[in-house]
Amino acid sequence: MLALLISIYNTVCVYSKVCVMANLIDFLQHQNLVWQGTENAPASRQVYETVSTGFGDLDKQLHGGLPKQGVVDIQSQVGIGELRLLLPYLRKQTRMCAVIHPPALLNAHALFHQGVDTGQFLVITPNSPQEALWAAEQCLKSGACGSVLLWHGDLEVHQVKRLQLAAQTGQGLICILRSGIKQSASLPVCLSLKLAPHELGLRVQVIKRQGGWAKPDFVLDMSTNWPELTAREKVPRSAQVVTIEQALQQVNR
Amino acid sequence: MALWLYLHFPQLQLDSLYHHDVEQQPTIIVTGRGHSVVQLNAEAHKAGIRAGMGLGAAAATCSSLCVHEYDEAQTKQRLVELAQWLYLNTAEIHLSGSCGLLLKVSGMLAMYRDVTEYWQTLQARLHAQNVHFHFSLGYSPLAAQLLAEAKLDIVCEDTKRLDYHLGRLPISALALPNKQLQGLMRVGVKSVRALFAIPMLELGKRFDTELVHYVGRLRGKLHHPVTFYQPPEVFERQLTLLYELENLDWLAKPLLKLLIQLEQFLKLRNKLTKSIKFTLLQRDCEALHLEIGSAEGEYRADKWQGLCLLVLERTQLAAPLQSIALSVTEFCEPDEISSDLFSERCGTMTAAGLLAVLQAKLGVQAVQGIEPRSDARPELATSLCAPLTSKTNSASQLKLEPMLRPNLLLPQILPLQQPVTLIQGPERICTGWWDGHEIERDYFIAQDESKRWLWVFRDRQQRWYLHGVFS
Repeated sequence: MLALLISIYNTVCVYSKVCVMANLIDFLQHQNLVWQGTENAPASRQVYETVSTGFGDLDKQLHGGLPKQGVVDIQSQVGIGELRLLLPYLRKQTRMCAVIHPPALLNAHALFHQGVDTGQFLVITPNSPQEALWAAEQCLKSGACGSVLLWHGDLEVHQVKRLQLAAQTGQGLICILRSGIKQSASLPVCLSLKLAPHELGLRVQVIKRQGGWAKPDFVLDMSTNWPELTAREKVPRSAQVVTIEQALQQVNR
Repeated sequence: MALWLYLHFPQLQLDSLYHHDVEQQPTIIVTGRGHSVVQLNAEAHKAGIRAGMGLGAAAATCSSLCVHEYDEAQTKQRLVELAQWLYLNTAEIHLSGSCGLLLKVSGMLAMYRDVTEYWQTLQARLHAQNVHFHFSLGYSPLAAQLLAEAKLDIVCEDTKRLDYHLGRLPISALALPNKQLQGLMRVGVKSVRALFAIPMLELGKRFDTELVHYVGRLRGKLHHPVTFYQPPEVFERQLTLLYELENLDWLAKPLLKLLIQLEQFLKLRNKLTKSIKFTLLQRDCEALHLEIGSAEGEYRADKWQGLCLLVLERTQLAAPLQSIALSVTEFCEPDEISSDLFSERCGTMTAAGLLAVLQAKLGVQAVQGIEPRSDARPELATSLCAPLTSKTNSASQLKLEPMLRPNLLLPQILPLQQPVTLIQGPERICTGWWDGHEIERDYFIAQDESKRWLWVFRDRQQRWYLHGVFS
């Protein structure tokens, strides 16, 4: 009788240890601390489905383009062409596009002239970053929005995970446009790009791409789409530096 | 045979006009191209005005005349009000034309001792409304109507007496086309009695079927179509809280109780609603009214509760809460299911549902759509609109010359603060002289030191401003 009890006790002990081990691996994997060989799988085995960005070069560099659903992190300062990068993609969308907390008014007139259907745009101006994240999650989860553009500052890992889950539920894509960020920790996003200005368009650095190797920076040529907004070979025609002081002087004169 | 009561209101509009001070003034109501008098009060009658008189003649007869034009819609509205007023005492009311009510008496006699008591109750209610009316009973709706319009004004359910009174009516009282009336007169039929004396079969041979139908309905032999009045439905419930609530978070449970009642109410009637109204009654304070809307009709309590909680998050109480009330006045029919049965559904909400949630939490102003306008001034070329309403054709469909405009426009034009390099321009925009918002600007595309693409302009006084960002 006693022997039986002891044997049962032993089994339970071993079992609980195995459980702890499994939990530990789960825990470490969860924290992105375990390196697995499968992560460097060949490009043919994509982790996510892709949609074209509308730029041939970019599609090639990103092995197909933007993820069909998920979170894309774009680090860029405002006004160098970060929205133009997404416009060809937005033009093809059939579902609504939510624009949350834009740094300035979205110009319907400009979108109209670039062939984007403005009727699908939903401009949301929340009062706080928390509300912005809440709105983004709701839009993604609903399935009514195919794409969400969110201007945001620093993000926490758990916030990105929530957005990722919401994007999976609604099968949508969220692009988080961030500028002047301090944090450097890796976020659990599908794709992370860093944009810098360049004469021909944009210098793109792929910081992270799920299931992909690190790659050198490349230049995205936008001169065919927006010839006026690329500083090409020509010298600025009327190079003139005007400061507010000069302007005031002119007024006083 | 069913017994019917007909109430005829000859001067409904005049009755609803009256105030105390106007009582003395002769008043008439005119209609038609000739402005003939259709309704007139006792004062006007005393002054010598008669119904059917032209406006000119009436004005000549009496100098201090108050004239109103006949308003059909107003009269009908008043009739509906009367029907609603009488609905408390009698169930089956049919709105007949614009000045009559047809009441089915037979069904109601179980509630009253006899017709006399029934009529006394109705009469008391009608007197409270201060309207002139004529009435009559009848064994067919049409007979009751004819007798009431002939101002019979007696309550008797004796078939023979009713038939006698009906028979005495001249043929011209019948609502028949003139041609038919003349035809009847010509063969010597001058009263209803004479018309009834002709057997139906003979009538069918000599006249057309319309007359046969009419007589059949008058004698109660053929069916007379009636639709009974249904009072408008309103959902109103109040819930007194057992103890005062200071925290809005605790309101969820009592709220759900009201919303479940609403759900049952709507489900029974197969209706949806798009907006509900909450009233929070606070101690020694003004009641707080909250209106919660949903872009698509909804009846389910849990959906409404979700929206309510979002709105309550934004609400602040001034004093402890004593009771809550819920009222819904507008209902809508459920939509046809338009989505494809076999297409894959993703997500949890429709666009309208999402909109309702966002607006409940962030406020209506925080969620907007955008649409381009045809205006050359950049700040007016784009405007905010209600979401999901703007429909636009893209520029390529309209075959317009594409213009380069910045994707982001500053909400306010700012003086240019930083040194910039002008890349392209100028593009002169000089317009708007017609509405006081005149501009004369030379726009340039410029790049600042951190290589951002800016849209700057110089005004007539050579001052530089920043207007947009080519994002």
